[in-house]
Amino acid sequence: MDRNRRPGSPVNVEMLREIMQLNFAMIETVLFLNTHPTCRPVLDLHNEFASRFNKLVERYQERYGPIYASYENAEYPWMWIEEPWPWEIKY
Amino acid sequence: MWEYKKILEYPANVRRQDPDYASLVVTQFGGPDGELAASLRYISQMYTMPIPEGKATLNNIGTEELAHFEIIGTLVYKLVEGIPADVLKNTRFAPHYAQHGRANYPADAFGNAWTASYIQSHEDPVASIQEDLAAEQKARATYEYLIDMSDDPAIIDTLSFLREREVVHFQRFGEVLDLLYDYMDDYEEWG
Ligand SMILES: [Fe+2]
Repeated sequence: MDRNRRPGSPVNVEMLREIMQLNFAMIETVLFLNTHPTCRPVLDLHNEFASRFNKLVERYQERYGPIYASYENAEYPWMWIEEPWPWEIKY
Repeated sequence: MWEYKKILEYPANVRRQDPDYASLVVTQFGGPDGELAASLRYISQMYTMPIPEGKATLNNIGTEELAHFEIIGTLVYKLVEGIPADVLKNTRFAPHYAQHGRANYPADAFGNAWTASYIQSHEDPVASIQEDLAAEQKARATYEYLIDMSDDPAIIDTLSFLREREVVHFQRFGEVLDLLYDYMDDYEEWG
């Protein structure tokens, strides 16, 4: 399995894993809040995770390319198609 | 609608390739208690769910299950990626290769194609949520069988995460069921 990246399609696995962790933390707060909508401490936790997630995703997208196809500062040429896709990465 | 994030929900690695194991773990891709069935079950049921907590729970868990479908797809893909046909032909993966090559296909461990008959969706919300509670337990049990048959620590790590998610989903659906009973107590026609 050749996991070498093509030049021009960098990926920062360490930073990706941090994004994945925050994404997962949000999945948990969302599911919990859906059945506990008045739980203030978890709501605050959710907002904190969401804020950290959004900031980190923004930094990642500036440096390594889009996490979302809707990324607003897309560079030329169109980077969304760049490999690796999530299933092609050795974590 | 759905928007893709170019990340996995959880890392999916394999320490070494194993076509035999690919043909077993594929059941969580397209088998009766697999992630595709889970996702489509919940996002089919959400429309007529009478309480807001229930609609949101079905929507978000259905979404998460689709991310699990991608994680299992990643494991199957990595387990067989690039292995030549003359090696695959002597493994349990040979019938899959004959029909699909190394492409992922939603089927169970016996090779049966995914079918909507695996899932149910009822307007009666208690009937649907009870189905969902059972589905989470069956998925948890399947992950335990799959973990028991693996000696790859990377695969066991990923499957253990997915197993744990089924436990959390079971908990959330249990809370929805309690909320549904409260809701039904408030409306005599349900009682
Ligand atoms: Fe689940």
